[in-house]
Amino acid sequence: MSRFIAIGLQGGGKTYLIKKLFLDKEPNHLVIDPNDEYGDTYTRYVPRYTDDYEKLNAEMKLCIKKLVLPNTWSLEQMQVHKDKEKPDRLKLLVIDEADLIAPARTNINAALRNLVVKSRHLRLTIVFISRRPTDLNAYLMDTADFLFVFKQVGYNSLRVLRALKVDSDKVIKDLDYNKHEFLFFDRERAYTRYTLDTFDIPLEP
Amino acid sequence: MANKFDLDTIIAEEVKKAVGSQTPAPAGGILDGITLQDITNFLGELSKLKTQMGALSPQTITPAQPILNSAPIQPTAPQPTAPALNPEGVYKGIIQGIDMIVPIMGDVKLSELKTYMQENKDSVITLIGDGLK
Repeated sequence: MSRFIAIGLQGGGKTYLIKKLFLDKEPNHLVIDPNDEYGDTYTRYVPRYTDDYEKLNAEMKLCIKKLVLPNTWSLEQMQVHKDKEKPDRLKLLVIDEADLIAPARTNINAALRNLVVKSRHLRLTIVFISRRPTDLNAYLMDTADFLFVFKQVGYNSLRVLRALKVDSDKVIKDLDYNKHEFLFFDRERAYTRYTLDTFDIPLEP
Repeated sequence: MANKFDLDTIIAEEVKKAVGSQTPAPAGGILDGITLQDITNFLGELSKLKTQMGALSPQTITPAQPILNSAPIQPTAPQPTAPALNPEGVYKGIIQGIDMIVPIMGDVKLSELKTYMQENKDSVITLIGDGLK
């Protein structure tokens, strides 16, 4: 029921991490997959208008309204069906290339914002994946519960990440790209250094 | 195997819901059994009839025997000939006709017909064109 952000350069290991930590453990998931690259193992929505922000905005609104929300359950609905057999509900939403849908310096898609606000109520875990923190809408950065940050080298990216925790930018710059090292920021923005194999914190779902 | 969704999936689902929510017409109604081919043939025949009627219309009115002390009757302007039949126009006419009929008849078959015609516009226009020959 938390909101996660994974940031990292292409090939850094963020998609592998999200698959391993979340998607492979939760069958009731949906991946927003703009690059159509997750394959048939995962349930996904492939947007059509990835090269036109206005159209993509409208398409995502439709996707959230017609595909995501009808498959989630609110706390009240779960209470009503407490003793009954419940149909599968959507528990995990992964949005890859999240900066396409929620780019920096634009008003965030209202439907997406609404979903983020209601995510805890809907018992829905949301994971946003992006390459650079500077590309992603500040609202998502600010409201994320946890962050996975892989190696970054750009001045602006490091400057944004420094805002999360002073001096974290130096550590992020020194992360080993080939070993897929990353920092895990918790709710207090305290961070710990891990690799894909050493990460041992149990996460929902 | 997991599912893959896209915009077409959502639209298809919405169309299915919209069509499913309409009350089906009772079987054996007056429109029961009428096919798209019947309608296009009928329109084709109607258009042919219209053409023939247009050809029979006098192009000019010949003045009768001149009447003394009366002003000569000016021949009227030639009647415009019937416009050439345009399959595109007929197509629009069918769609408009269905739009008018569906709210009154509530016949789901007509809306299904409209959907079919919109999705298969080219072939429908070809059918209408064939009917007009």
